[in-house]
Amino acid sequence: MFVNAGPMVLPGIDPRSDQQTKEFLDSGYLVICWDDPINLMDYVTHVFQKVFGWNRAKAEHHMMEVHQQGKSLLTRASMETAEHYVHQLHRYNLHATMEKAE
Amino acid sequence: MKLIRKGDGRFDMALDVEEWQALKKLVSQYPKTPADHHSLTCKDEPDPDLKDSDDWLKESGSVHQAQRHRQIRAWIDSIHPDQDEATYKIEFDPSKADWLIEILNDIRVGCWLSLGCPAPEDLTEAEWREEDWPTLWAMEISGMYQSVLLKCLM
Repeated sequence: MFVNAGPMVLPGIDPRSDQQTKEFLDSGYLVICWDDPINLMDYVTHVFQKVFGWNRAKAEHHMMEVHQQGKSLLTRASMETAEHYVHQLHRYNLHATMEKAE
Repeated sequence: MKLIRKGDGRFDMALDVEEWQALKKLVSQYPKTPADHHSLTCKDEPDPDLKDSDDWLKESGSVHQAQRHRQIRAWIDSIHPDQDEATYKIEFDPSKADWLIEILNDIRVGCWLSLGCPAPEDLTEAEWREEDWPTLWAMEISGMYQSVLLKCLM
């Protein structure tokens, strides 16, 4: 007679929260800011600080990337989070888009 | 224009009558940028997964602009001259300055769009029609006020 003694390894609980797991699995969008000839450089730096909570040095670094290279990859996030950031950047009239990460 | 720093990111801006009339005329033009000007994705490569979100974004842009427009009317009505009738003192904290900077930028970008998105060199070298002068004025003066407010926040 075969006696089922049960699995050797019992199911456990993933220590990551549901939200963290969702974010981890769905972090597939890139938020990009594009250069334009109208927004002031100090203004772009200010907006990056407001929207992302960055310090001035990091915000200036991304502003200079936009200015010199034509665009800057600002962050990678889930679809909802990326939408939120792009929406905020649009409210400040920056030219920002999101696209699926390859 | 005089600026008086008060600490904690707060400051006063003192304007004479002409400067206040110019700022009032400027912010009264809000909104200048069309609410549907922006898209979530590059316009030549729209992402079908984001179409609903893009539609919602454009709709919420109109609501945001309507709210800002009401706030501007209330803000203008709240500002009165000092007793000498020659000076307007406007008090700012960081959030109020950020609010006005965003409004001024809407006007600046909207003016630039209505001028046909000229390159920086065209702004000084092109021969503008007389009817474009008020738009050029609004674009430049909003940029000047933006710069002043941004420096106060640094």
